[in-house]
Amino acid sequence: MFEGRNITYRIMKAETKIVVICIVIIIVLLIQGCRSRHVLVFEQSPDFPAFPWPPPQASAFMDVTELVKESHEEIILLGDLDRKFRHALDASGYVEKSYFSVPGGFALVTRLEQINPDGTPKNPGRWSLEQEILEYFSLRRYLRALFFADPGLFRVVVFIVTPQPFSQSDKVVERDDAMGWLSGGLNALPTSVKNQEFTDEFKITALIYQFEKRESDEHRLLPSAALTGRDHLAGSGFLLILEGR
Amino acid sequence: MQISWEKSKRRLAVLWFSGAGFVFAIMLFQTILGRYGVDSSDAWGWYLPTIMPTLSLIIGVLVMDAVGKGLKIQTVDRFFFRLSFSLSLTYLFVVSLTILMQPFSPLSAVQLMTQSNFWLGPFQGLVSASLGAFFIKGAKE
Repeated sequence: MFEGRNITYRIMKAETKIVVICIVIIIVLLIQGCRSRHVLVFEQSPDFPAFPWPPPQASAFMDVTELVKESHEEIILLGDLDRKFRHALDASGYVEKSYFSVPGGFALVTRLEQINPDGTPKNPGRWSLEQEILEYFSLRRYLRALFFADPGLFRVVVFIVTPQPFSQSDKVVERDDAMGWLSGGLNALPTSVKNQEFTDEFKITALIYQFEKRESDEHRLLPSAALTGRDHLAGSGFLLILEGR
Repeated sequence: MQISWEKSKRRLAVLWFSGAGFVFAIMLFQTILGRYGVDSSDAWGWYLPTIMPTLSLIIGVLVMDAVGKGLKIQTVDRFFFRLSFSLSLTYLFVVSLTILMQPFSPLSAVQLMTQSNFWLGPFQGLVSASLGAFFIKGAKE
């Protein structure tokens, strides 16, 4: 009888172990399932429009990953990164933004702005598509406007956040297409993307599309502008704010 | 009332050469300084047909006189001279305005030149007709 109880006890102990193992396996599977569903929702979100991929040829670009990481703010999720970018862009005057999906991340597009040859925003007339005309007479300004060209420079900045390395396509984007990016994307980053972890694999690249308005009113993309990506971002004030200065 | 044919011819010639030369000088400097960029051909393509036909007519008359084959007349009707002179002066003034008002216009320089054809086109017709009448009427007189 005692041996019977011993055997029973052993069987019960073994069964208990099996049950515990099964429970652990079920828990692990549930966790994996949740993650998969989470990623699946992000990839199949029909409401998150995709940015042209690979991105069209830019006039200039700059990798700002290290600048972001060197900041004092801790960035764990893409939502933290988005918050930091929104703050820096708002402070730089870029109050209108648009979001697109890219492989593994997102693209953040700013509004088309008019700039000076040194990369600083035109003031006044930063957000105007028309070139400045003389509103009051000044001989010096008049002669300058009469004899010297003011080509009308415009730019759009696109921040690409993705862990996937990419090159730029040969496609030359038209100014109207670049303007359409602002209205074609989402006004905020989807929650599913915000909750994505910002790992070391992620790179943040700023693509600058600079356009020149000619006398014939044509706008053409400058494939290799005189200004570097750093010149553009510094001129807009975004770099200073991002660096926390 | 009559006016000296020689005097009237020279006044018209001076007016046209001065006016055309003024606009030519401005456009020359603008082109050299890159004002029109790659659209310089469009700018000059506007200027030359605007000025050259009438200027060619005047130069032709002067050359004919110089080689002794011009009209052998002494005087012409003052009315036709004044009409031709006034229309020429106004035409050259409007052409100059098209250039000088560029900094105040929301249109680009080339766009403004293209638009100016709406009013310069018929105006040029009037000027040509008046000059033609001046020279022919004057000859008949």
